[in-house]
Amino acid sequence: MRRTPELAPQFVDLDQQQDAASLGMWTFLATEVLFFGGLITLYCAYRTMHPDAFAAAARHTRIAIGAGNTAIMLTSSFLVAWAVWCLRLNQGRIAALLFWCAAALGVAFLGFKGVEYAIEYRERLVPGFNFVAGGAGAGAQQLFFAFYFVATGLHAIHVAIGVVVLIVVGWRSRARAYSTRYHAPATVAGLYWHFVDVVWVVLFALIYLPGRS
Amino acid sequence: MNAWVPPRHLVLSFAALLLLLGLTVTVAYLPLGPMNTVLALGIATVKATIVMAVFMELRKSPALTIAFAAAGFLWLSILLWLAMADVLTRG
Repeated sequence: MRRTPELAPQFVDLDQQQDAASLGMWTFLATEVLFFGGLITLYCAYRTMHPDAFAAAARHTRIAIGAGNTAIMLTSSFLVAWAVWCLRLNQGRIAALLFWCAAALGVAFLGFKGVEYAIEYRERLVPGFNFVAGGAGAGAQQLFFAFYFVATGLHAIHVAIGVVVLIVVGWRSRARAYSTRYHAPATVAGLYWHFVDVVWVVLFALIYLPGRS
Repeated sequence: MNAWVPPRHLVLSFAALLLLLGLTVTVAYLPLGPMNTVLALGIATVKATIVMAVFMELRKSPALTIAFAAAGFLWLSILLWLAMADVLTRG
């Protein structure tokens, strides 16, 4: 095996290096599963204890923005998967464009999230700040919105980090830093972005869908 | 191969994800009682599985990588199981 500058000395070949990179990313993502999992466990416990208040609180969320943002995340994820496929075909310029489009969608996601937060602030739905709940179980409705702001806030931080990562990976793709054989940094960045998408898919089901029927 | 044409498996997965999104929003408005929650979480699980299997390429990954990916969810299921065993059985 010819040594190339991309191949770190501890690996036999680029395939092994790629597998090790994916394994490392999945290890990090497993810790992320438990990071968001702790919050989701709390949500499940509180929703079991206060089902009616959680349904009433969930009805205050804007499902059009939530569903739109889900479509944006899914599209962005698709573009990143396509970009990695382009790198395997040695199409760095196309991959760069796709990574940047995905990053732009990430920015759009954050924009809509911001609009949503502004609406919720105006509707006095921010616990510990200006929360005024109508109807039964006002205390438990605050629990829902505390979960909402912590979970979507942490997710938004992940999106913001992902946008920066995608811009950098796009730039590296454009600079022909990756090839058919070597593109591990781009695939690992993609894994992170897809995971952020998965977290949103779960949050969407927990936050926007209850109490609609 | 023309890189401007995305591969079939990615396009099909993307289409399935958008269809499932439409489906989950639609069924959320149907009065199905407890089935609403089951369907919402079930469809979310299917969507997450498609993303992880196809976009994250777990279906083509070595068994060791799949085991690492499963580890986080295994521990999460233990956390949920023990936490809910308490909450669901309170008198």
